[in-house]
Amino acid sequence: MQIPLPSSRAIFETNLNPEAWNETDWTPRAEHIAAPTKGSYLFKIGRTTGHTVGQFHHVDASVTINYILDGPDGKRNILVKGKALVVRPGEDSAFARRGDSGALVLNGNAEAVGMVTAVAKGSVAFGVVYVSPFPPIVDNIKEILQRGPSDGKVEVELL
Amino acid sequence: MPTTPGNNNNNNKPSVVCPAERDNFYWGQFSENVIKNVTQSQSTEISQVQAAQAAQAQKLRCKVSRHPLGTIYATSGLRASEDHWILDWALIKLNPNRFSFEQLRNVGFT
Repeated sequence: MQIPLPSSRAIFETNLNPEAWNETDWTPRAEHIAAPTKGSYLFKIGRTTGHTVGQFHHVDASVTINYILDGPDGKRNILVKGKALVVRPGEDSAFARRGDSGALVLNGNAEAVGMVTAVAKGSVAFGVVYVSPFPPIVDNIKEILQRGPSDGKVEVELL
Repeated sequence: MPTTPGNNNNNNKPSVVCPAERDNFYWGQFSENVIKNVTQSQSTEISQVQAAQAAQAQKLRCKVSRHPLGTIYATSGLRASEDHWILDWALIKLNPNRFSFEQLRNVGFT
């Protein structure tokens, strides 16, 4: 897989508006979130693998994550089934590995596409990466924040 | 399990540690093995002595870096949403002693 052309990276840099760092209003805006298109390049910066690029492939409607929770009461399995975006890695490097979970996934226009959730090994070299898209995450944040008492210190305007 | 929003100063709120306990454990164990190998062989080779010193320093770093990154304000828990999307997010109040805004802006998106 070829790394995206410098022209697309220029767009990426342009959208990382330096002035934004001086803003105090961190309200998420609709134009900062995007749905990926098939074959589009996606970028992430993660704790384990750092800067990587991958390609959006499809939406997998039958993802199963078997998470082993190692707690004080022993090991416990958490089995979750659902949908996720599938991102394929490059030919010579992984898109994400263990420890990259939670990394923000952006498209070439620096729009937030989703968040790294899990890696499936075996299907392709380096494994495909499951990404949770942003709109359901934002909807769920709204739902959870409305459910409990707020201490008034966090202000989030949701889409 | 989902954690509903609440006061971050509440001690009952779970904290997040960084580096992860498991990572710290393996780094510490690795350092321990390097130190043990050099000590057992009673080597005086400079490279091995330097490796042991580096491992000792790493072990110390593992020890002192074990402190909270922040406290969890709210989480989804690992689960699927009503329309079946897999969710695993958390809102974390970062410990200001670990971070400055200047550091965060240089890290990028992660």
